Amino acid sequence: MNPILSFIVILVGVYGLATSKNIIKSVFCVTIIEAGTILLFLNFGAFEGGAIPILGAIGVDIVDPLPQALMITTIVIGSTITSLALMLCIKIFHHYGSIEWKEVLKGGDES
Amino acid sequence: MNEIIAFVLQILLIIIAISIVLHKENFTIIILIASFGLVAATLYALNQAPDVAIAEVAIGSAIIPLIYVISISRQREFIVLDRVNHDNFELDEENIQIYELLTSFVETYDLKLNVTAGIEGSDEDLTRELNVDLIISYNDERKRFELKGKSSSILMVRLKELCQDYPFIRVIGLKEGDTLD
Amino acid sequence: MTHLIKRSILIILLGFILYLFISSVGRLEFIYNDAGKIFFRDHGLYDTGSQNLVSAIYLDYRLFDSLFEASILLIAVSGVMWISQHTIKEKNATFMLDKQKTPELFITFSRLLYPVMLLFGMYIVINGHLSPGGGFQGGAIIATAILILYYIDISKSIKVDTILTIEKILFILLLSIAFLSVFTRNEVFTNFMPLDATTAQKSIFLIVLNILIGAKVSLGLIAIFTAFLKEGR
Repeated sequence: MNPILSFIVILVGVYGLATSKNIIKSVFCVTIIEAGTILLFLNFGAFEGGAIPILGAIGVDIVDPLPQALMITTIVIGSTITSLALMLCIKIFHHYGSIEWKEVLKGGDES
Repeated sequence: MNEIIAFVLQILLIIIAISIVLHKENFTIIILIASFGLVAATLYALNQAPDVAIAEVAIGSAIIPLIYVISISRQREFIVLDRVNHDNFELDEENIQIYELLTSFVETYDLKLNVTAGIEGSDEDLTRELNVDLIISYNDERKRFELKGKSSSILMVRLKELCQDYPFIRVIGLKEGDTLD
Repeated sequence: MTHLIKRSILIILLGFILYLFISSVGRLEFIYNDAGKIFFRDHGLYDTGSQNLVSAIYLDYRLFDSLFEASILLIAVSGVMWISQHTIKEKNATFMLDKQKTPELFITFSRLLYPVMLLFGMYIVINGHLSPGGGFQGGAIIATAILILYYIDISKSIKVDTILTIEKILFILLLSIAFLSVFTRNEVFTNFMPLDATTAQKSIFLIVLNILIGAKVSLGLIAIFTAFLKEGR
């Protein structure tokens, strides 16, 4: 049940990215897709009654530590990409005056 | 017991994601963003991954909503620079008409008007560097008010259409050249 | 009308992808095997000297990934600095400041909370190899702690040029310490202590790397904050 629910979070993020009218909302839908992916990867290694991957913890057997190490990198990179995208969005607002996709793509009056 | 909590929290995560996608105002989405990060961090901890949970709490609840607040809050203001010489009392009525026009104009877009005066500098430098939206000045030779702003901005296009009926206002758009130093 | 048709086609496509995923997730137990987990559990402490197996993976077995992640941080910070205008003079921009003052309760509470957060962040950085934590997490907490300074005194701003220079020096230091293992173990990008040292001696490498990564991440995030705050004025 758990991998299917995480995949539904990814699909909600994809739907939001395809049909959003704001630039800021579509930047956040990328973060939603990332959170869903991280949940999916963590589900592959975990099982009930497992111990956290530190030597000396109580439990039946340890959980696989490799997906967790990859996902830490993913979170940090996701935050830096979000900050770069939002800085570009502020610059678009200063130049065009609005942050809707349709108006920005049509361009202002250049006469 | 752990299974039931994890199941309920995952359904909550899907509900928060759907409500972020379908909501329309920008300012209330930020609180949903912070709560999305916290529920996701709890789910990571329930999947026996404490390192990932600490990273998500520190980054997704303190740093990311702050950056969103800063980038959204700049879009609620419309900055106007007033350079009219107010000692001359003949122009007052037309001046008041301009301000009524501007007030009704910004209300249709849910912005706030921020009027200031007394900043030195040439017009092009001000619109480029400090992002002033509109500069009002009075031209003595032609006896009319001039409103200057960026020519690529969409609000200036709408303002130009709105001011075509008034003969004493003229809207000028300033072009932006290559500005990167 | 075509608007609704496009939306419904999109939902049908996404439902089809969900059906494909459901029909393939039942076979997961046949694909997944335990060989990697058994290797990490048996040899992790002896090879690297850390009890936290996740830290052992991203600081010793796969140090290459962490180095590239540090370089991605450097590139993103440089990009944000180049796009933003953080060099305008303050006296011309005073009309863009917020008109409200921060309440007294916030200022007092921030003064109490600032040293506690800084201490907590340093504890998480240094204890990265014994308990959950590490360089990346502690760096984010230290960056949040320094952000509280803007609540206390909003007119004091941090000079960004010094921070960027220190960050570049830290990155070069990180690369050179990771490279040192060529001389002792004949392998690049791993622990520079030889294989027969005790566990306590091998963990010196992990502590040094954690401190360097924590400092780098926190300085990078502070630089990004400062650029955003000055741009937002």
